[in-house]
Amino acid sequence: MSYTNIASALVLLVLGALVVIRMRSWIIAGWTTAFFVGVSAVLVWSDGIKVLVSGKTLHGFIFSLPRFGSGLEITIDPLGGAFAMLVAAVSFMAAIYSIGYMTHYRRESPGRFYSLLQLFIASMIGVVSVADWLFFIVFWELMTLVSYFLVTFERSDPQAMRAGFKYFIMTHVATAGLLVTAIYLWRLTGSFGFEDHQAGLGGMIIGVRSLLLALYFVAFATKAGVFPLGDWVPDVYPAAPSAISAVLSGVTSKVGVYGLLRIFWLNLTHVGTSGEVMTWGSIIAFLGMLSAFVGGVTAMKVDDAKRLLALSSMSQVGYILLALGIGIAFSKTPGMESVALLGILASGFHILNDAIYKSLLFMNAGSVYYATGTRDLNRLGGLWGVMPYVAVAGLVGVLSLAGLPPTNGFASKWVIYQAAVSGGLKFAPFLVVAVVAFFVSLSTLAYSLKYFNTAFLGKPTSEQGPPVRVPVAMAVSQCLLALVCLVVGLVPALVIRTVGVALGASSTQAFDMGWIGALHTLPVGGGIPASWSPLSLLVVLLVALVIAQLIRKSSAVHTRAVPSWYCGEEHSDDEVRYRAHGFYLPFNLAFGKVYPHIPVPRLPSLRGVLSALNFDGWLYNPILRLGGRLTDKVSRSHVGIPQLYMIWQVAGMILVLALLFVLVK
Amino acid sequence: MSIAAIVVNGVLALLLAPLFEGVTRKIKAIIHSRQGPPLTQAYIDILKLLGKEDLRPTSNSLFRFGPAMVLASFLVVAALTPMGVGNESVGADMVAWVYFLTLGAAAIIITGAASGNPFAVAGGAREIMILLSVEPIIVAALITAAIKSHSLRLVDMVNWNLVNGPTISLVGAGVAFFLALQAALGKLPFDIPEAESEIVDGPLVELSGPNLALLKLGILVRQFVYCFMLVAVFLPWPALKPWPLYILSGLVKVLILFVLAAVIEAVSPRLRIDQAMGYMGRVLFVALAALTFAAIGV
Repeated sequence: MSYTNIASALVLLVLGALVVIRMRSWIIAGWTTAFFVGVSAVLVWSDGIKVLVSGKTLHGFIFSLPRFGSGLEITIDPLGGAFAMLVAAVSFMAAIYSIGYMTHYRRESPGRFYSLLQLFIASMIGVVSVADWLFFIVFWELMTLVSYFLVTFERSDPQAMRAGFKYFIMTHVATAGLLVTAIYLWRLTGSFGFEDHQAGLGGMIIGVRSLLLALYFVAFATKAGVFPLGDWVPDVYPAAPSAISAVLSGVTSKVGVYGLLRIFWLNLTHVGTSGEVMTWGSIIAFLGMLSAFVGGVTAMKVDDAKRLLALSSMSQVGYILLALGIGIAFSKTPGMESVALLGILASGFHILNDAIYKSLLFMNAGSVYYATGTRDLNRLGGLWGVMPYVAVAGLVGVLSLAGLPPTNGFASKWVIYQAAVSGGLKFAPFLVVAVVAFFVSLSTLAYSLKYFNTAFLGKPTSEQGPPVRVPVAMAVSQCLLALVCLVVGLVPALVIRTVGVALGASSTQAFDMGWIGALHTLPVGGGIPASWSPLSLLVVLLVALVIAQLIRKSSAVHTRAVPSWYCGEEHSDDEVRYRAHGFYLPFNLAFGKVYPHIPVPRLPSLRGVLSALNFDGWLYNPILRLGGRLTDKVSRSHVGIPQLYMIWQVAGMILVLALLFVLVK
Repeated sequence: MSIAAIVVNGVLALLLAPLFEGVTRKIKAIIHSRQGPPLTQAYIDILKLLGKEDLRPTSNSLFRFGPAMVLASFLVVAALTPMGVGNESVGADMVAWVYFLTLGAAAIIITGAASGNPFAVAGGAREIMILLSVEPIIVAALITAAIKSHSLRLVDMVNWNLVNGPTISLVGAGVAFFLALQAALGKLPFDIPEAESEIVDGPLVELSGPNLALLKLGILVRQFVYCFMLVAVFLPWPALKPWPLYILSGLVKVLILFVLAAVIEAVSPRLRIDQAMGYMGRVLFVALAALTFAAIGV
């Protein structure tokens, strides 16, 4: 057994789960959890940085199952290490956020929530730090199971229970594909190791390989929440407590993308033919485009703050897949190396950025819910004055989500467009991807401003009642994430370098990086020249702002507070409020059919399946009742008369003797 | 990184944008058989507004600083527009150009929403819908130019077009850009976000004094930049030297575009938003056709 920090982080998290399980106070359990998660985050980061700096894989052997060709060994390669760091950091923020947020679930048990949360984090770190499909699936299933209990944490809410059920069924059915591939390749190679399976994939005929790859794709894309497969996303993210939504959308969906990266980027591009990678790359890119479009356009018409963000997650994962697909497609085309690198770097960079601003925004929507008790944007307004720090963090979040400069969202979208346009020069359909990506980015602006403007700006509504003060812990985690958004946006070159190391894609072959963090794409290997230097543009923007302020201050004018002007009519604010539902109505009517709501048919056979699954109904309860009846009968013999007992004893002795006679003879 | 280009472009846009508004008003007055205001009227308006009382319907700081942000973003866009100074990249490309435009639009919308006036919120929602229908066209047109010139840098697009002359795809893209221009400028029949007679100037309804001056100036700069972009990328000829002459020829072409826009504005009624979206949908087909032509190499 050899030591790794990540292994101790996992042990620590399980220990933490045991420590908090009996706690009765939300505050104490919250701080304890934050401590355990924080320490394990430091441990994970220390290993992650070690791996990313050296570029070598870290091994921590724990035990082996030679009969199965499997073994639990913590194996952290740069890709896994980077994901583990991301999971640890975002989860730590979510843990801090929970300290404040979860206090309003007074009736539920703190021990249950926090121990599940720690197990959830541990399982995610486990998934990305093993190199063995058997234990990958073990951690993966643990992740699904624990997150199911977290989604349905509010057991009194039937909507949450239904959403949780949908999540459980959909991700489980998809995981079956993962099991099939793992077992098939195990039969073929006699091992569960990642490398052996890669070799196994390489050795088989193209038809079987395509089938297995399709199974992998379904399993991982379902978890990632890509449009048709991730149909559970718009139901589940809103149903979970906001801290959990932040983790689910921020990192759990990215763990799904991690699977895709491992199979399609690390494995397929080594073993596949160039036609094969082109086909798979195009499929992934176009599915990503579809997901981005459907999620983006649908989010514009949704009035529930968290459902809007959930659809936005679907859209952003679409962006990630779109870039990933372009990267994979060109990975074996001679003369297009740079485009492949651009695509894959864009995808990795967007994973990081989406994890940051999406978890920030889910926390933000959670704060709104905490303060007002509603997520319905039609009934919200004017929270800027109530919680200024949360509102500023929310503004940074929506600007990043919409990809406006100089935030991190812009930086990664910029790389995505580079990849799409230069890919389009070789394979024209990717130009359509580029134009659609632009369009979706504008619809992102539309729905993110719908969220921000209705919740934080304008005037407070009468429906939302007197707002509750938001705890500091909630604001702190959001402000930190907002700061990261800005910093990453201003020095993208530094981050892209790290992303490049993680993905094994040399970033210096695609970019010429200036010393102030500027990015210049290199016009070699299919790339086309373009540049983005955020710091110098920031200086230009600041100078322009100073000029604008100088113009404004050029005359000292009198300032006076006035009431809102409703064209001379006397109205209360609520009467004339422009509610969220009315936003973009003509547009939504034009695109109304993009994501049709398919009602689940109530099949009689399904009811049969459900009642067959209801073990309480036909197995446990009848047996219990039978047992009850039998013991009733036995107890009737206990009448309390010693003579009667003596008779029973004598009768019993005779019976035993008779039996002995029969048996001995 | 060409600092000279940034400074010249920014200053030009800031100083000249109101002049074109004056021209527009004059043309409209001629069509209406009025005498009309002098050419300098837009400057006078802005100066006058700077001295007016600053009315605050809300204490929200976004409302206070929004207009400055609007002007600043559009000045950055102007600085990035390849008007003709220098041949180097300015550290940003076509993607950044489009996104800084969007940043300015977002600042207008946020300023409006911060005022808390329902007209402003309605105007903001309309602004986004117009943006959603106009910007894909402009982006498709610019990508067409990017394909032909094998670069996303605006300077390279201009130089390629200057040297290699008009191609079918670039002409198509230019036409699509021109057809979308009226909406990009926010003029009739597409002045739907502002619509004075309907939603009383939309996002601008609560602004007054210096803030209104800044926002108006910002919107004028945006109009100027859109026109100059069309001229610079799709109509760069002739390649005059030295650069002041080249910029002057660009300004003349911009003037022609403004005159055309003014004529259209004077004779058109306002469309409904869904009609405008339908129109833009058809223009998008033109842009996509140009893109297809570029992809097959003509």
